[in-house]
Amino acid sequence: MPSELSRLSDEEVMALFQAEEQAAFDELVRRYKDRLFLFIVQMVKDRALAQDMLQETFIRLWRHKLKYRQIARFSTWIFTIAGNLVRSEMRRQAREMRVDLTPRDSDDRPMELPDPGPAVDALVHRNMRVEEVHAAIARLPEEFREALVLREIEELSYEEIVEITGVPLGTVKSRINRARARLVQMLQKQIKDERP
Amino acid sequence: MTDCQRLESELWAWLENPAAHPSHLQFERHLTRCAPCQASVDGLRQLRQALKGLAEAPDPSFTQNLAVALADPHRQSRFAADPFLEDVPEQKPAGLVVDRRQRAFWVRPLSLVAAGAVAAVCIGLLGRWGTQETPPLSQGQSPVLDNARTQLADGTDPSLTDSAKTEGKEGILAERQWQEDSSRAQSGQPDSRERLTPVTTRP
Repeated sequence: MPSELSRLSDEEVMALFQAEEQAAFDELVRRYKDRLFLFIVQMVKDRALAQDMLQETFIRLWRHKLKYRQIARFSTWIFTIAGNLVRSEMRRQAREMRVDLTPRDSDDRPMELPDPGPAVDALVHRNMRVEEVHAAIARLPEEFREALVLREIEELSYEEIVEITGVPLGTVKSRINRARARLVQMLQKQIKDERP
Repeated sequence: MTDCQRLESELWAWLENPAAHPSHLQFERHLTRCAPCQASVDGLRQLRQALKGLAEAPDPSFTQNLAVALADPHRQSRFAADPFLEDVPEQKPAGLVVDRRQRAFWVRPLSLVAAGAVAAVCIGLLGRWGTQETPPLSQGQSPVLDNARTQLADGTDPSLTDSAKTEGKEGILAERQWQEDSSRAQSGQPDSRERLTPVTTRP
């Protein structure tokens, strides 16, 4: 059964899951857990929190599976769930930052860089240093970061990003362009070093 | 704007789908001649590859933990308060808290509305008072004279002197005469007191 499922599209697997097929849920988790985790961890910059949010995303998928209609792509739907969770968490963090006025030492600040994890080790051989790219992405403003990650890392279409973020197409394009420009600006040295 | 600057501003859009870019022929022609721009393109290609190559995976125990969480009907989630697939409104503390900005936002229109309502009520009251009409007097009715007539007839007004009473009687007589004259004029009857004088015309 799993091998058969792997040949189906996301929407077809979701339809099976809606028909109470447990293996279909496992297949969706297998397909999306890394993609969603990458998106969430780039946004919240905290692996433990990102794992909790990823779990919550799949629990919501499990509980609300009948709310999905095949008028939208499944990837858009599941990223919307995760995106809403991310935005709620960012708002909550912003509220807590406003309330907490005690000065912090730089060592107490929340972790800026996500832990690269074992999967990143395989990328170390690449020319551009992964941790520098991570750090540059982490320094982008939240809305720019979200648009850039969805476009450049998750490779979603502009229309899907519009659905997920809930902002107009022009705003999405503008955010992506500005995020790219800032990223290039931050990584100017690395880009020059890469030149032959 | 030079070709290099133009290329730099649109480089990423061109890299996304070179053939679909409206100026892709110009870009490609320029790149074959301009070494710095070609170097920029190479650098950006590397960056895009690095972005696409970024990968993060949750802990290997994630799937197992997820199964445990799904099996637990009493599981309490810290995210449970968030509405599903909806934009989450800002949570507010219990009770009505009005800060300065909110007060400024609400008080100004509310005070304008209240002032408008008061003005409307005042105008309405004035309008009603102003247009309140006294009942029309019937022809020949004169309240002042009627009152004087009654008092004179009764002799009930002690404040009136004898001369005033005499003047009042004369007034009544004069009024009666005026009424007769006016009714006669309306009916076209000649006045018995009228002195008919021939109209003389000059030749």
